[in-house]
Amino acid sequence: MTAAVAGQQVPVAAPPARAAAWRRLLRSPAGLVGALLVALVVAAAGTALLGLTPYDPIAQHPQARLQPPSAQYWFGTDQFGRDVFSRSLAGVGNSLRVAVVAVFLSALVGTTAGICAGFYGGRVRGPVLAVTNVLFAFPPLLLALTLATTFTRNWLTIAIAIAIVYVPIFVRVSRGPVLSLRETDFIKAARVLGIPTWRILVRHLLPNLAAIVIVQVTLSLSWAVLTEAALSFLGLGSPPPAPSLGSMVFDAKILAGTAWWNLAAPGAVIVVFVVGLNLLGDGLRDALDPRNGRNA
Amino acid sequence: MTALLELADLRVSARSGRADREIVHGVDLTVEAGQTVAVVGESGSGKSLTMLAVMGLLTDPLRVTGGTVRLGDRDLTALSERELRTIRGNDAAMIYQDPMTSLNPLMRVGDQVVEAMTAHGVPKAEAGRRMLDLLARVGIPDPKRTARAYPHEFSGGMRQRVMIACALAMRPRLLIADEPTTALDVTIQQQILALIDELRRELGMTTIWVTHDLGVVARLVDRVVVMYAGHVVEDAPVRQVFSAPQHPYTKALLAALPDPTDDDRPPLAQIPGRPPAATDSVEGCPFRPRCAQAVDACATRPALQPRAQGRAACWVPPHEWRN
Repeated sequence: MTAAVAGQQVPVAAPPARAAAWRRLLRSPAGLVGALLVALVVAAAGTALLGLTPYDPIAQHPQARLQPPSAQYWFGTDQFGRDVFSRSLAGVGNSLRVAVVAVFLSALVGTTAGICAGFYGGRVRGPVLAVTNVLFAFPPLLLALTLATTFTRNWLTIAIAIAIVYVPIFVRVSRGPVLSLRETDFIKAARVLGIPTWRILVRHLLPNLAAIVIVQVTLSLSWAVLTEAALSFLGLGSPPPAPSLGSMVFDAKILAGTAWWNLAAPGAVIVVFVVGLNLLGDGLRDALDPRNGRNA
Repeated sequence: MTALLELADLRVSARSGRADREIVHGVDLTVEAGQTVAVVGESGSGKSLTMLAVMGLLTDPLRVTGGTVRLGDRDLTALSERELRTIRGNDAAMIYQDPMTSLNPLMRVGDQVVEAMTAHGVPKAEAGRRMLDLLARVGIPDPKRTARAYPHEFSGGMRQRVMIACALAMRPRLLIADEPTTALDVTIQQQILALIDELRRELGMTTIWVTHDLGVVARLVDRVVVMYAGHVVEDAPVRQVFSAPQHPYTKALLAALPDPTDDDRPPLAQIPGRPPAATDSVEGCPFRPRCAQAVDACATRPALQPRAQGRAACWVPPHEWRN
């Protein structure tokens, strides 16, 4: 802070808050490891979605069934002779797509509803919180299961089912801070200047919520990956033969004693995925905490 | 002279349960165009609430429950929120008490000044140019560079200058300055007061200073309106207020101003007792329990009557006051 009086120079260009937050994130061990793991997972998903996997993930090679890991098949092959490494990459791609779409939708809907419920109160708050509470009352997996069995099964329905489950979390996470932000002087000052309400919400409230929402997005992504895996483990994920981490684990159950790589590969990928996202979330939480000083 | 702002029997209440609790009890106040008025009173006297009501900024559970607010030829109490928005910041602006928290911490100060103009339809490019002029005008060095700074890089005084730039961006006809210097260092206070007064003259703005410290604004205003417990108790030219107060409360307020040159006066004079809480229902004159001049007539509330060159709400004329 500079005690600048008129006529004195004011030091400007402390690095923008965003750059500082990035540096803080990559300096913390959790944040760094998390960011690396997530980068790895995203790279894997990208490879799969671009069709750059070493083998076609659903092509069967009957002459090479249940091969152990080797230079040719890095993670071995399954009972149909499909390359487990390629399937894992494709599974990651599939999970990530579902998780990202699901969390994007729930963050969009949940944060919007949370901001409105927090800012307007009264007539908006009642219905929003009622719906939120009802959704909260359902066990997430059960709700997702119900939705997944009711509607056509494809990756988008799964994503929407997971999104609905996570909407209430975003409502709660965003509404609390809005309640206190609404009473801050700079929001009142914006009203005094005659700035339209939608502009106040978008330009003044939302940026001040961003840190909290970003952390919640990261953590929700890891839960969404787990939920997607659980759904496909139960046979309600993307329909076969599309590779999915959850269904791969399910199919490999009976092979656990003989062809362990079939179980280990997708399992390990899920662990890396979820641990990476959680570490990144923790790192972001610390890095974006305003108490760590915006001008550090 | 024409009246720019005219409050007629303005009442503000707080909803509590089913009942309304009145906090501002019918304020009548006319401010001529170009005039500078101070509204003084203790905390809780209703001065800030009255001004918020003028701006249409009362929020639940507070609301206007009676009377009118005329700004120019429009009754603000009859306008919709949308119409009020076009008046706020445009015709009537307000500067607040705490500059430390009145700027968005995540937005460059220049953008905040620009926004005060674009919200009222000024094209962005023009707003950007005017912003630089405004920042220079309110005494911010090197506007081109400082406009890109964030509020945390500014001191309190500098932030208040930015707030002033925001408030005056649309050249409002009415400026309400609600204790704009309370949170600042004494040395900075004088600079900010002088700046606002200078800009007021330059823009020909009608100005209302809201303060609990008569001393701060004594030299800046034409007229003083004294409020107590939600009532206007005296309204008079500033000279008369200081030389011949017409209400015992005004006199007591003046006596409470520290004056180190006056040896006869106790260093920190007080008014005994405290103002009635909004929950108390007061019969008669609200100042009666603390008043040294109270007589039997005070059991009925005195109306605001013409007295000397102003108005006062007191049964006892000054020449009958004890001591």
